[in-house]
Amino acid sequence: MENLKLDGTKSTPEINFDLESGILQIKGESFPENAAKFYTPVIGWIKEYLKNSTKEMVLEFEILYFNSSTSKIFMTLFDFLEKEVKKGKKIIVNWKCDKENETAIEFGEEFKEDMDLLPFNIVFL
Amino acid sequence: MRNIFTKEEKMISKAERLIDSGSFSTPEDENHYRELLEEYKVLYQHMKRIVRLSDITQSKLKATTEKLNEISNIDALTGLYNRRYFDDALKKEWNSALRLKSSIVLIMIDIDFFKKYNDTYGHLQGDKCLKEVAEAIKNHAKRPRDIVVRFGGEEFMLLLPETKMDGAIRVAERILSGIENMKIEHSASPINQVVTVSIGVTSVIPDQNISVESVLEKADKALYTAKNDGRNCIRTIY
Repeated sequence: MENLKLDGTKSTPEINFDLESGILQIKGESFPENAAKFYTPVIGWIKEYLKNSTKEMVLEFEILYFNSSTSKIFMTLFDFLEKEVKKGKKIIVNWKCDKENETAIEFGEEFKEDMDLLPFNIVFL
Repeated sequence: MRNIFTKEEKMISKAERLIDSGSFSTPEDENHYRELLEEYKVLYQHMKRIVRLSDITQSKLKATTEKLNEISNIDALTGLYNRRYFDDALKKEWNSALRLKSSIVLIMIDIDFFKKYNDTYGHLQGDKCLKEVAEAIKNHAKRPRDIVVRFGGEEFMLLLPETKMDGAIRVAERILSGIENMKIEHSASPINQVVTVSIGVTSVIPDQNISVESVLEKADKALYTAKNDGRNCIRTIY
């Protein structure tokens, strides 16, 4: 497998995955015209990685703005990760946001609520 | 309706009742159904969250739009409406006056020798002077539909719908004396030791043959005449 690297655009976030460290970063704004089309390869990549690796995986979200389609994708992803944790994988999600940004914190808490096993941390920048 | 998802919740309780009733013919069927129900519950949870998140985003967006709208219509220094708002408001009032055959008054006000004021007291003090004059003008145009505008640098405009000339002149007189009586020191003014204004007033009953621009020109011309006639005075053009 190779490192995953997508440059950010006006409507899609920058995505970086470093195999070495096991850290996946999703950073920027997310309101793609077709969220499914944009995220399908990313999620495919995550699935592929989890299939082959035993290392701990850290997903870092630093999203300033996202649309409803993106939130649906995120929930589907978190749901999948939750199941992977159940199977014994080591995965951590860090939801990074500014201490002042109440909305971002609130959104992180909404996602966190559904997670029983997946460690979901709200991290202040 | 208790919440917007009453129907979904009814569906879930119906499915749960079905499982409880033990009416499935085989345990496999029941398990299959139970799994589907659990998956549906997760998706239902997702949907509720999406709606909640969207509601938050939308209300934030709405508040931001309103704030931006407000900012784009207001002059930051004086808090009066700006030229952009005035242009829209004049068009609206013009059309309404056309229908009602009522008159519109424009009062244009300019601070006398404001450049000299700035040169003497500095721009910060100049801003303070603009704010005080703006406040005074605002206090003399208090009907709900009166619009007070910072028109340009030291120029102000009053748009008074459904107003006749005699009423307009009384407003202009109150502004003229009101500002002089504030006694804002202006030692560089060749005509007075305090800040004064010149005022041009025009009134029009719009009809199809008159353009909005021509009324603005008339107000401007009236102000110009007041300036030429020695300032600190009111001139009118009918």
